[in-house]
Amino acid sequence: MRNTERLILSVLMAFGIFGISIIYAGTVAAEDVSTDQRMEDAAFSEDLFDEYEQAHSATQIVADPIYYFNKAMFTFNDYFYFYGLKPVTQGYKMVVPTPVRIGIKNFFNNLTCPVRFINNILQGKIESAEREFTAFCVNSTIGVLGIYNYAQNHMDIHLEDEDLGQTLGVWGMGNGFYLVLPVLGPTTLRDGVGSIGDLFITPTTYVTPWQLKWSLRGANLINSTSFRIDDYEALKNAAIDPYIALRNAYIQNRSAKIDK
Amino acid sequence: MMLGLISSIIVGLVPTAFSKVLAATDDSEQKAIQARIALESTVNEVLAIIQDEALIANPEKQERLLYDKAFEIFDFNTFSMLSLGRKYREFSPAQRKEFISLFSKMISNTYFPKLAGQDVSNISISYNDVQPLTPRKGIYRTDIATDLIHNETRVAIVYRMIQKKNPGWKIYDIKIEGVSMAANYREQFKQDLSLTPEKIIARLKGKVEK
Repeated sequence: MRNTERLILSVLMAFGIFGISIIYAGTVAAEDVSTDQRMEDAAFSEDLFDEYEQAHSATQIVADPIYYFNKAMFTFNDYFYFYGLKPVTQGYKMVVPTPVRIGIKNFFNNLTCPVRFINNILQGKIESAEREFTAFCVNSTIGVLGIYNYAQNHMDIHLEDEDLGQTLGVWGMGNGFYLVLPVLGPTTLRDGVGSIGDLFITPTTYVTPWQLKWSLRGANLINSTSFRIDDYEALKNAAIDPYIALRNAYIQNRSAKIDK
Repeated sequence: MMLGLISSIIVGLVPTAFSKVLAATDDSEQKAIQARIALESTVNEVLAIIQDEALIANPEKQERLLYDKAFEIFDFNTFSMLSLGRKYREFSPAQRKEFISLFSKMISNTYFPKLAGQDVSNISISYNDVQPLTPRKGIYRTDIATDLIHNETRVAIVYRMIQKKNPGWKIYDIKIEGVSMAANYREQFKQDLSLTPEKIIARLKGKVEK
């Protein structure tokens, strides 16, 4: 969910700014193309198509042998979003001001430091691991339990998402196949297995009693959703085939993370 | 003797070839920097328009100004072409025109209303390195990597730009957190082999009119 969350937010940000150009481009630019230009584009386009084919074919294609299961889960998640998560989050967002929501987001993000730290080590990214360690120390103390992201705001320390799925990818393991989980959303066999491994080094896993543990998980889900409310809808509306759009976005995003 | 000749030719050619490669890289790099300047100034102007108090009071004027600014920088023709991939060839010139118009409307209908009322005061954008792509058929292109921080969340956005004859550099693809928009659409159009140009246009029409 976290990966797709950032993704969807970002889609909104970029298209928010440049989406506006598109109305205009559609009405004006379409008339503007002279025959000359189209000829030039046609010669040029073959190269561009090749380039995209080469750049994306290896990383973009994922096997989807359990398509019907995945599609059913996708539909379930869609209902879950519109009838559960979205109304709850809207209410939450109305009551809780943005700075508080950012604080909560930072708190949970600081808490998952062990996951990123250990996976950095497993991938041999020693400098990133050092950054994680520094950020954790600073944010947990000066930043009061991680609520304030002092490391990012004052020390220019930016953390990258790391998880076991990425580590396995770096080690050369392929995606396996595409998998959509209820509530958790898109993943793959590799990344799903990775998430289970990561649970063991996620502090919230060890919180007792179980009521508190699940409350924390729920709070994290609703709080993080509050930053991207409606974005899923936008992505869905702008898609020709929402299922494939999300699948492809997930795979592209993951392969970029593994390459980093 | 023969060997000596060949080696002297090679020795003579290498520096020439090398300097040419160097010159080419230099050229691409410099052009890419122009692209970055164009991108940066347009983005700044767009942000300024969104934040302008006087313009917020006059939404119609604000919208018009935003269109103008954004249109200067976005190459929707190339974006459409890449989104369709080779399917683009199956489209007649009239269908291409219609596709571009509908495709742009669908995307803008979805995303444009969301920009209104966005609080952009806590957005910061940093422009990282330019990565020139190999020029093809004398056309220069480049990737411009940026980081956008909003609500303390950092998002990597790469703008892929192309040098147009007139009026200059334009964006033709946006890669957000590693996800290329054009490639994402291409996968969607590619997946269903039964999607003829007529069907695609009909589907877009349905979405736009909804």
